[in-house]
Amino acid sequence: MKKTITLIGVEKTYHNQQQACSILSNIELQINQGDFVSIIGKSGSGKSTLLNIMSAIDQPSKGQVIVNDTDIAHMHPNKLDSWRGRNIGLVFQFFQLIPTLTVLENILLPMDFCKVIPSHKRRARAEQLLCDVGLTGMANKFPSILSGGEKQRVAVARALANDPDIIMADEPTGNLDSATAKTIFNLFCQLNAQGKTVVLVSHDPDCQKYSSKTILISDGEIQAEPFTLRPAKEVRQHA
Amino acid sequence: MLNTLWMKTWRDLWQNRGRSALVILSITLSTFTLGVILNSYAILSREMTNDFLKSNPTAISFNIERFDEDLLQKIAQQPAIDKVDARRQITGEIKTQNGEWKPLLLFVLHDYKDIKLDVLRPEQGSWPPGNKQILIERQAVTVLGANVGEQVQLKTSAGLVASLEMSGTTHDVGLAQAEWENIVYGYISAQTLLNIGEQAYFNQLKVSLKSSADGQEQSLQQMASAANQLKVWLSEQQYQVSNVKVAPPGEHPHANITGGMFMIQKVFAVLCCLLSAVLVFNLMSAMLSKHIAQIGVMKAIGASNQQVSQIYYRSVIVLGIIGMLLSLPLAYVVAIWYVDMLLPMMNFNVESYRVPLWVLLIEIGMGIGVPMVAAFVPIKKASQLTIRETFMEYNQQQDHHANWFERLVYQLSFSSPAISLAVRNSIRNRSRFILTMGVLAFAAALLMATFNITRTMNNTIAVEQASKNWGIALKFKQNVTVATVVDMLKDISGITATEAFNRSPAAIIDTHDESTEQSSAASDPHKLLVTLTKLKPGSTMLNMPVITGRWLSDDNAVDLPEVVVSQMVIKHMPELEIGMSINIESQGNIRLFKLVGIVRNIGAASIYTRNTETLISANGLYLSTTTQSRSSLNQLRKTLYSIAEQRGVPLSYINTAWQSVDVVEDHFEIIFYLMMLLTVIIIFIASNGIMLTMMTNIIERTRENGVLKAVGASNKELAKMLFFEAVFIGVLAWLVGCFVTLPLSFVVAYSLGILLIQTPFELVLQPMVFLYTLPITVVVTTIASMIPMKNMMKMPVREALIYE
Repeated sequence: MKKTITLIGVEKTYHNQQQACSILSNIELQINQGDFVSIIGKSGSGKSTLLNIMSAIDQPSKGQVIVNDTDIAHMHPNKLDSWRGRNIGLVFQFFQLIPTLTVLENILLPMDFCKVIPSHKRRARAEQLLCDVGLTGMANKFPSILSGGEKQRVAVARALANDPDIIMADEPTGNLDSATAKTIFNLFCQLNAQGKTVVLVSHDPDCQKYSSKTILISDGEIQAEPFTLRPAKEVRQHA
Repeated sequence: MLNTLWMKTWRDLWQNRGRSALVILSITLSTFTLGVILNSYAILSREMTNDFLKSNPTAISFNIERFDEDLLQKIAQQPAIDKVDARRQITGEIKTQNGEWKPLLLFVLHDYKDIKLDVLRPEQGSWPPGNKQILIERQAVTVLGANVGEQVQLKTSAGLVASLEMSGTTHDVGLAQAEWENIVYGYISAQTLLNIGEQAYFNQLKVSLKSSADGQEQSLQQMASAANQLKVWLSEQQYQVSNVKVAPPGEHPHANITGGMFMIQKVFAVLCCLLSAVLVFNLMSAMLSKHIAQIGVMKAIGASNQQVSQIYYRSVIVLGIIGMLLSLPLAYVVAIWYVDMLLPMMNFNVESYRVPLWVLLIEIGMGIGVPMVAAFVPIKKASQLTIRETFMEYNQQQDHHANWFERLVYQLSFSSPAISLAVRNSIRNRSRFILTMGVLAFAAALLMATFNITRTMNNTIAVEQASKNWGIALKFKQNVTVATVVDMLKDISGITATEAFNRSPAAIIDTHDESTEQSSAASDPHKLLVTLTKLKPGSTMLNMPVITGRWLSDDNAVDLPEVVVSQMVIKHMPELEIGMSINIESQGNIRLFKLVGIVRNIGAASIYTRNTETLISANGLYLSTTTQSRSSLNQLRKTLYSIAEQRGVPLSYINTAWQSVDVVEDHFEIIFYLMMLLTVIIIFIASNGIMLTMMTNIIERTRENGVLKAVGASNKELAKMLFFEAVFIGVLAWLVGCFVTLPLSFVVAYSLGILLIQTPFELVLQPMVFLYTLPITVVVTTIASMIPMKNMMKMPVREALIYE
């Protein structure tokens, strides 16, 4: 199995004026292509920081972070954003759609930034992605009139805009009711079934039901080796 | 179709349309102000010079007692002379339509069909003036109040009375503005002159000089040297030269006032650029602080720093272009109106209102470049935030170390917690507070400076007047017996004392060589032509304000006679120093003097010295008067003209003590109005800035205000807090403005003084203006905070609490 994400000896420490505060320590982790990984842990355990480091939102204080054969821990900060746009699709708890852009334009935005998709194909692709997430006909609506679930589905479509291999989501259902949360988890399962590597950070206990691997974080350390609850195929069937 | 980045730009601007409109307004206003200034400057300076040069301005003019055409021919043969022309100038009075007699300057030209220098241009009616006809200078028509075809009555200083037909109007670009001078300029033919009983001869010789061998225009010094050579030559030919005037080459007679106006305009143009930049900086900072999360998202989905910057730079460019599209045509239209408004004051014609390309380029630079520069820092700062920083809500989470001022403000305790909160709120965003308060402080300082400068200019006039212990000065065409004239005046009421003086044209010869007494004045190239006034020993009629050195002493035991010079002399000969020995040539004699002081004198370059003995005969007489009021002195002047006419005293002119300051007073008034106009614009921009800041503060504190409402704060209470916040900023701005206005007033007084009277004004502060400005500043801030206050009160609690 091809290794997609590898973390070796990763540590993260924040410094304020008075003291150094260790958030992550001695993280060793490997996620393979096609995995559906959920990262769980209590509030403040360091799970979002871990996701930020894997998605190049943040850089580790120490260690290596190799994603798609690239050591992003030592990549120049100016190149990280563009690299992320091409390689990782991100979904956030509060959707983070640009309120002044329509649904379709929100999906077009990463394509315009990264220019991976030829410009004449972008619009069609954005419409197809909208269709994939079940929002056909919403293209010209503004985010403000969408429901939470619809917003998050637009966010997922946006995450897929540049066709990245990896989808990462930080508490994607944290702001949704349980029924809507289920549809979002199913969406992630479908993406995983299409071969995307999915990494979720969640408080939601249901999350583990959909994932093939679960990582438990406590006090900045991985408490257990990534373990497989069930084979990925079975997970998909459950979903 | 626009790509998503452009869509975002447009929609961001539309979503923040209130703030966008304010920035467009600021850019429009500042580009408009700059545009009016630059357009009018470009048109005025070009057209004024062109129109003036078209008249073939005289380089040197000589007032000679009398001469005829023979002299013209002789002068024309001199190798340095390019053109020569002659006029007869007669003083007198003319009866206006309302029956009042006004001063008249009557000219008889050598040949109206072939005017070589100071060319007149026909305006209305017939040309040239026929027998028993008079042409009136176009600006003097309003003084006279007569129409073409009507009869006007005049009387010359020799007492001759005539009734002439006003046959038309003419334009004489080189004369001082008739309305300001309250004088009428008339032009008649030689035949008319004979008909009214005057003799036909000329008394004004005008010449222009050939370019030097290398084709260059003659410098002022070369012209002065040539003037002196001609003067000596004229004296050798037995012509009595009473006055010599050398005009700075190509310089319009109103160059100093326009220079002052242009300087003020340029300063304000720069200020407008700065203020506009501050407003754009504030807007972009505020807008970006709202967009921090969006920036984080855009980066998370792949936007580079450069792409994020581009989105916001596009906003700035769009705002700049809209601002420019609004301001450029308006600025051009208003500039033309402004130029047309100044034309009567300057008395010149405009042939073209074309604006040069450099003006347009500067306007575009101002409209787009300045906002881009102003937005550079906030955009760079925001685009370089890491995603983690944006997610941590950078603005609120970053460490903030209170400085001494903030600690002081936080310690201020008020009876109401709402007021304490309002005061503390005003300084929450340090850079925004400093910029907003700074702009307002500067506007307040400018307002105070405008009044300080006005007081300073008025004081300059008052000091100038106080230096004259005379009310009327009589100047005779030649030396008269002092006792005879004094006897003639003894029965006239209002005269308390008389004192004779001698005044004659003179040249300073800048040499330290003691042997110059033996040398010829004409051989020396370094000269400046001035007016030399010799006062009687112990004279108290003049006590000029001393800039450096001292006034003339009465000590007769000194080695060399003392001399003081006016600042205008120093302008042309900056090498002169106190204690220096200088040679002065006057009436054919060269004499060594010791320079003891430099004095301030509004008017031409002058030198003052003492006569060694009491004058038996003199060509001037100072009269001390019981009153210094303008109207009384003008009345006395008329009486004196009448008596001199009856007794046959050869009067050259009679001046009141006010005449020299009346012109500058008008100039000062123009400067005041211009400064006030520009200050009002700056205050408007500053109030715009306050409104923007208050709106931004309210937007940022929307959720906080929702919480305050949720815990029981009424709209009235919130409005009160905002009012106190505005007042706090206003009072602080006023306080800072009080300090800033001191150096600002000094710099403006210094520069304006140099431009207008060739020496810095002595700054006089207007203490009351410090008090007046406080309520003005507070009212401006209060009014500016009303719209944001209204918006804040309109928002329901539920919406405020969920506001993102």
